[in-house]
Amino acid sequence: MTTQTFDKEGFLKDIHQWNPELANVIAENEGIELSEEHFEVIQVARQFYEEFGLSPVNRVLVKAVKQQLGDEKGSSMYLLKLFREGPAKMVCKIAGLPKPNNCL
Amino acid sequence: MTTLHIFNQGTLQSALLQRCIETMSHKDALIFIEDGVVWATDSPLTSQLLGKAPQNAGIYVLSEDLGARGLSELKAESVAVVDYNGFVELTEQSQNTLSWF
Amino acid sequence: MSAKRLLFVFSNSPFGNALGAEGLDAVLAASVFDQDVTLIFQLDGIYQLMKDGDTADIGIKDHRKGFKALEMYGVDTILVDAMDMEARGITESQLAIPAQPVDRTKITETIHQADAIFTF
Repeated sequence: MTTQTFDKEGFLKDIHQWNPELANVIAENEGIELSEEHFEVIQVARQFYEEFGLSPVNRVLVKAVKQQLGDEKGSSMYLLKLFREGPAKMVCKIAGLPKPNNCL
Repeated sequence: MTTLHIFNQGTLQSALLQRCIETMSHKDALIFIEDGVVWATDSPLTSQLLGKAPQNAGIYVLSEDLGARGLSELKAESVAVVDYNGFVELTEQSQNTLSWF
Repeated sequence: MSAKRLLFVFSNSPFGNALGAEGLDAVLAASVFDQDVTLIFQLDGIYQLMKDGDTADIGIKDHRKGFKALEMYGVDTILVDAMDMEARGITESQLAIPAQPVDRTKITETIHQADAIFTF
């Protein structure tokens, strides 16, 4: 957990350094214990980044989760429950992706 | 080869390419790089201008820039493809280079 | 407040400058505010939409794949200048996203109807 690895806001600088263990460390720092449900969503965000080169904003992450994991999980409530406020920002942080551009 | 003309601008700079082509001698060569690679595609827009180049002048396009833009399949037959090394060789073979922008 | 009609016009080829990437960022930012967003691709801007291409050899991040996410961001009015496409020998099947080829009259009309226009 050096400053070399993360930026000022705690986002991973090099997405290629990411691995599930590192995700656990980042999440723990944020007071979140990762479960299989968390990792499903993290995977969706990483896939989205791979395909489009973008970190999804909340609304779009909900859509992507809905497409991949079904209607029940594709809701703001579900993501809020797992990742708290501003879920997309938190998901991207734990997934080792850049901060979503349009995060207010 | 006397002068290697290097053109890195898109079709918004057609007046510049027209001047470049008018300036070329038949011993010169012209290479399209960066945004200029769009001129190396086969289309009504490009063939009109390229057709005015001196007959024996070599016309080249940089493969890396062409491929990055997804235009390899659209390349015009009259244009030869070179990679970075080929570009360096062309530079070495010419007395001087002229970059148009 | 009713949605503003925002128009983004792309006229430049990708990678030679950062206009395409900046334009995409601006479009995505606007989409978050539920505005009525329209994109026009004309002149060399059409090359932003090419389906093929790999920037690994030129060491530039390929922002173009971000245009494929526009639908997910709720942006679905994407127009291309049909004459510019034809002049460049490009067909719809070579584009990465479904864009609507339109004539100049439609483009003029779209510009007139816009509340704000941004060019890239």
